[in-house]
Amino acid sequence: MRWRSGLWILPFVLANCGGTASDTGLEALVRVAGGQFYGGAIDNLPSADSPAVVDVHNSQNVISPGLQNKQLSGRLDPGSTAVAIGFSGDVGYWILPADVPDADSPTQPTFHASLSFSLSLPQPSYDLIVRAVSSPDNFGPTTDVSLDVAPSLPPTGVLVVSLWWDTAADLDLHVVDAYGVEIWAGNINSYDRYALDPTTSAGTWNEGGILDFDSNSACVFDGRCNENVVWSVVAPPGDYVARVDAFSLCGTSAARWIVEARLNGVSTGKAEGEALPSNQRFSKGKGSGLSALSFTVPSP
Amino acid sequence: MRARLHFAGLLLVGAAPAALAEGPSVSPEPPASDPAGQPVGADFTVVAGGLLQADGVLIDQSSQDQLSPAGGEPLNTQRFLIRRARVSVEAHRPFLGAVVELDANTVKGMAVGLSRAELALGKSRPGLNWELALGLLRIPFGLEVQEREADRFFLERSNVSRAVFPGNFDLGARAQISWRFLRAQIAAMNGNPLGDASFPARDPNAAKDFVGRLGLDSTIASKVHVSAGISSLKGTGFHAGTPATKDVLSWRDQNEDGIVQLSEIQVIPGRAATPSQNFSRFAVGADGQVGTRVPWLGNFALFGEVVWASNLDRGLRPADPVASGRDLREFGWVVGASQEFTRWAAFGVRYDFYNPDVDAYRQTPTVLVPRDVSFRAWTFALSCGGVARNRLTLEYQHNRNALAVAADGSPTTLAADTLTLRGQMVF
Repeated sequence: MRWRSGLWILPFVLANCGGTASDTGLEALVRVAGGQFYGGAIDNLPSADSPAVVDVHNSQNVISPGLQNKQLSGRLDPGSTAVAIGFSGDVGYWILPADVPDADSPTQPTFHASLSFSLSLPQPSYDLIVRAVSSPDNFGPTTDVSLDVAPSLPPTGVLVVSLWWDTAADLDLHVVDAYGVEIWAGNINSYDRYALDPTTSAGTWNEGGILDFDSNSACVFDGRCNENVVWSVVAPPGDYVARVDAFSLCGTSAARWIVEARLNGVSTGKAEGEALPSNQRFSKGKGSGLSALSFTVPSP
Repeated sequence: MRARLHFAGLLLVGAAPAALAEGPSVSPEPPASDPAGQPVGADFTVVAGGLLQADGVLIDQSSQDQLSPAGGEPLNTQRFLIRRARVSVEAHRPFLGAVVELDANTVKGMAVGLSRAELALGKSRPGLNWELALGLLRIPFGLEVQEREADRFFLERSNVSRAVFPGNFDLGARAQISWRFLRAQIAAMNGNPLGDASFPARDPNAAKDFVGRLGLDSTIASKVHVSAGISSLKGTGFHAGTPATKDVLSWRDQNEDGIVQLSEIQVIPGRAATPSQNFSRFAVGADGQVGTRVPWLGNFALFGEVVWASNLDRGLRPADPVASGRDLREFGWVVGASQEFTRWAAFGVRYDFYNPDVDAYRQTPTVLVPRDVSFRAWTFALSCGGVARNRLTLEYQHNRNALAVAADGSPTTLAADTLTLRGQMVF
């Protein structure tokens, strides 16, 4: 019978195994460096009259998806021991211990938060809620900070050829223009054709097609997964070819991509595909990549 | 000319302090083989053996289906894994013995490495044994560190043992002697055991750690087996210096407009290299174990151990007094018991406490307050197969810690209870 009496302890302990859930909070739209994540909407917590947030310092009300290290600071009522921060309606909120008061307000605890935001911010604006906390059950009134999400639009220009993909792979956009000049990470501007062809006028550097960014270059993930070649002044009439080169999948199994060409804001062609590990084996450089899209820019 | 090859578990039998000499214990008989070292008769013995521990972590409250934002490592811990797969070969000659053991596991992906390599010289005769050993040796400190993995009833050692000695083995030289019921061990070791958080199985400084245990081991009235001892460690830790850095320009978008402005560009000047530094560390401990056989049931064991240390945490929260600006004092203890219920089942319970920094404090908005950073764990283990070395064990561990932040900003427990199933076989 002794072993049976010993086993009584087990369900007792199982029923009492508490503790704060371990959660990185990566599902939340806003994240606070060094904070403890708690599930549940911050605006649904019971509210008390005190302690309150005295003030919040926020230098910019416009955020972009994926933004990191946005600084937010402020002061709290005396007696506050922590601050809760989160988007209204989000899956959770963050608890950050309060800091020591500033010299000019020695009774008011302060807070200093470094915020990061999800790559997916579908709404045009969000209410960032800040609440002072004095005990685990005592959350002060809400202080709202309205943040507008900067729309993620493709660059504007007479002709824009864009490439998007969906994983942390290093894909490269190659565009061959009407003169046969290839624009890619090794030749980011096509205007040098004027120097090669003396029959053409000299032109200026911004008349060429320009690659705006080599995203995820050398597998250093930057979160953009987007490259554009833009003719901002004039697009030479003729035939164009866009290619997608899988420089490296950077350990991912595949990358689905979309290529689209827009002439004066109107789509002239769109193609979708998938880069697989087998696509990495081809030589890299000028001329590399698989043909994705062909289109023609008519004469004016 | 004949050599005996035993595929038995002898290699892994009884290395607890009670059985002082582990592994390549030397033959009590004088040499009878030729000097060239060829196996001759019973004087040369080779023993091969192995241990397999396969785990299934059924529940782990700290597990998440995410990658670590810091290092990209998977945070899911609810999985099947090979905790230990060890093969060893042990050779004995008169006065001389050697053992080599390899360990493979999948704890952090597939890993294979040396887990033990020991060369021993000694002599054994009734009532008196002595041994000198060199190589990758079991550290002669306390009870849990010297207990073999196959013999330990609970799945892993307690927090205090794993913090102060992240691995059971370290490189060094050891002398041990047993006379009647007295036991003595002393060793000079690198001080960076396998499992060390900084330099495992290496030694960044020339100073050695001196560690030893003095104890007794006896059977009272032919029914109760008692062993006890005191242990001590005195050594030198290492604080790593930093290499020189270059000047760098840094842009901090203070007004968050996404545009580089001259006032937002800062020069971060390069810094000269900083030298590495040594620091002293020590530990003292006491341990005790009582075992007897309960009629109709089976073996009963009660054990306990207490450790007081300074700057010696090398596994859980590595202590660096140079970085922290003060000595870090550690304190921990463990007590446990196990009872067999016939030879088919056994139940054990263990409680352990470990405080990696008894002087810890934290800053609240207005005052500096003491902070409890201790780890506490209740462990319950139910074994099918008794305490034998071939068994199936279900273990539940209830952990308390101070790793999370409560809603009011104070430290609180991060849920980390686990339920683990382990199958073990010694061959």
